[in-house]
Amino acid sequence: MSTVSSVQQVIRRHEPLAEPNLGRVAQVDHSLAPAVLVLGAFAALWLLASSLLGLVASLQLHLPGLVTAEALTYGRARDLQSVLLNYGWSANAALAVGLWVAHRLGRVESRHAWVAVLGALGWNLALAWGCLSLLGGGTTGLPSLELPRETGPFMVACFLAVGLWAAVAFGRRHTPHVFAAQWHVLAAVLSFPVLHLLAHAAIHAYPSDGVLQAIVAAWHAHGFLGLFLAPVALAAIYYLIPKETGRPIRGYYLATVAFWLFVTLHAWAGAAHLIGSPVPAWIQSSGVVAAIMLLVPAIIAAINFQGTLLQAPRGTRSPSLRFAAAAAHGFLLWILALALMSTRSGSARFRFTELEQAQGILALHGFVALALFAGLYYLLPRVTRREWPSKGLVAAHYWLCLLGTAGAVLALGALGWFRAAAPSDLAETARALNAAASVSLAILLLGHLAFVANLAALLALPTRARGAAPLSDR
Amino acid sequence: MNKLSLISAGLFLSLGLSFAGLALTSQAQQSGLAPAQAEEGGPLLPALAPGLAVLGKDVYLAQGCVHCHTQQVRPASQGNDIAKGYGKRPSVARDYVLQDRVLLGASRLGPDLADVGTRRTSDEWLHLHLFDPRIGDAASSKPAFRHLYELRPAAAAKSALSLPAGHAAAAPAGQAWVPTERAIQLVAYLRSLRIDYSTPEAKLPE
Ligand code: HEC
Repeated sequence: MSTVSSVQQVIRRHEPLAEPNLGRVAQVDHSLAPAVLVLGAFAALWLLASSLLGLVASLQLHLPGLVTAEALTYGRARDLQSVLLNYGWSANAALAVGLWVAHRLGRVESRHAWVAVLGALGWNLALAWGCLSLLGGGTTGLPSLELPRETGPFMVACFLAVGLWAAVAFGRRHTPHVFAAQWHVLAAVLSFPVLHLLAHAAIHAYPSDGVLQAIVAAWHAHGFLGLFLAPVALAAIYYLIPKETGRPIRGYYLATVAFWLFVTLHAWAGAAHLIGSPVPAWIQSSGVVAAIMLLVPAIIAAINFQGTLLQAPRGTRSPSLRFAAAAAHGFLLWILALALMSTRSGSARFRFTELEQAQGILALHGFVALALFAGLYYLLPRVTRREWPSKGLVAAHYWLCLLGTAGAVLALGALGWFRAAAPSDLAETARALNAAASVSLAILLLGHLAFVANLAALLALPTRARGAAPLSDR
Repeated sequence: MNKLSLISAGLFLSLGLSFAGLALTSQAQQSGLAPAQAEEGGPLLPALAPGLAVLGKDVYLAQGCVHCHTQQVRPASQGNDIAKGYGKRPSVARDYVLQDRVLLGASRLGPDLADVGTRRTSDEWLHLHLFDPRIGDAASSKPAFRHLYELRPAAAAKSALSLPAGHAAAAPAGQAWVPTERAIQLVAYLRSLRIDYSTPEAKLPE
């Protein structure tokens, strides 16, 4: 596989760089190269696959005869698309960004990088195997837990082999200060293993009867987003906004409060996806309360992020900052949408409609992915000591991401709205709006192609000459 | 906020509490649930699904039907499911106690199927719908599940589909479309999805 060999080349080319004169920061970056590049390459690969499958699924809704292959009919394509988006792109990219942020802020070099590399390889092999089984129809049918049961403990072990190094970096940090980005990464790498193991145990090992499965699945699905992906995305934003604007985060003292509210509330907010379902009423109520209270940490984050951005000097913004700023807006919109959909009346009208899909796209593409791209655009040049080959491709990626995400969210959101308002005679509207969603997803795919092309070119470039000016940062 | 142990402890506590609160308490609350008699001397319900239907559930899963169909009827106060005719009474936890995989579903591009067995009582209709959803509704956006059907010599075909005249996929002369084993199981499963009984906590309206 060419990605793997070019990753190996990069790793090899880095050997001579391990010299004392590079300075601590450069050594930290350099020590992370193997793990970050393996994770990044897999993330990019799965991102393309997932975007393509999402498009294949969406097209079938307005061109129903298009796909006849059983493996790619709507339901299976959706299973694969969501697994690859969650466990493929998002998880790999989040681990790459999280590892880097934790080591960089702690000024800790990564030792035993091979453990993390092995973990990453294991994770992605298990994922690929699981996807083959999904192609054959082997899903569990539970959202976010679609992968076969055998992958559960193995993927957790692989995750630990990668993610625990972020906790190690936190424990061994050389800095007196601890930053918000560090707690967030810590929360992410500690939460996923607990979530995933407990959910697998409750569903497969000690199978729980009846609707309890749905409760556990909702807890896991929401936790995966709220306690694993979102904290890493927030960490990237907390890291990049002050770094790239040169301004301290506004209202920083509030960030601690926001953090603890965020992690406790997300642990309960999953139940908000069960309003009206045959589960105990108090569970539904706790979900409603948690989801609405999430507005509090979201408002704090807005003070932290948007407040800082407003104070920042105008002028050209680095690509990372643009992505991070867009992600900060996406975050706020997502929590607002979540809170609205989690009220009793919002749920009664809009639950099960396309508005829920729109909300998911907002979260995963309009917030998490943008923040992870911000992180990757920032860290990959530092880790590889090369510049992004094409600035134009970065800009194209940014605009196509915004356009595609906004288009898909608006089209599906409108369709959900109409479905709730007047469910009959929707065929024409549905076809038009589904077509609009497909066009948007195609735009998104095009944007991601720009990213992957740039990444491939970056990996193929020669390393910057050793005497060249170091990348500007401390 | 600078102690690894404190942050980890806080996190594990928060996750553990939510898991205990959501999953373990409802397990404790519901582990006693079992099929019950709605009134003295009545049958124990829900009843076990027939074997063919149990197999059909695997087909339902493998075909990804769950991405477009839910299996839960919400109470009238929390949605208009009953008004839409998805069921005569809301689903309750007891309805699911005998299912080893609960497919509540999260998305409704099509109607809820918790009670579809009482609405659609004809195997023939269900087979035609799966073979080509546009037979029943020309504007349907649902994919065809034609791979669940196969061509057989017409003479030997017992349960051939009777497609409307002039259908684009009409079988060539001398041959006929018949359901595969999987289609037969799937339709048996759909027929078994019924909320046509009362439970102690949810009575069917008279
Ligand atoms: C892309 C979404 C989609 C998928 C996937 C899908 N359906 Fe449907 N289904 C619909 C829609 C929409 C309708 C409403 C009628 C129509 O438009 O054809 C429907 C109607 C039905 C009905 C009739 C319900 C009623 O109340 O009359 C049954 C039964 C059904 N589907 C079963 C299935 C089964 C079984 C599968 C999996 C093999 C499946 N569907 C997969 C969208 C879907």
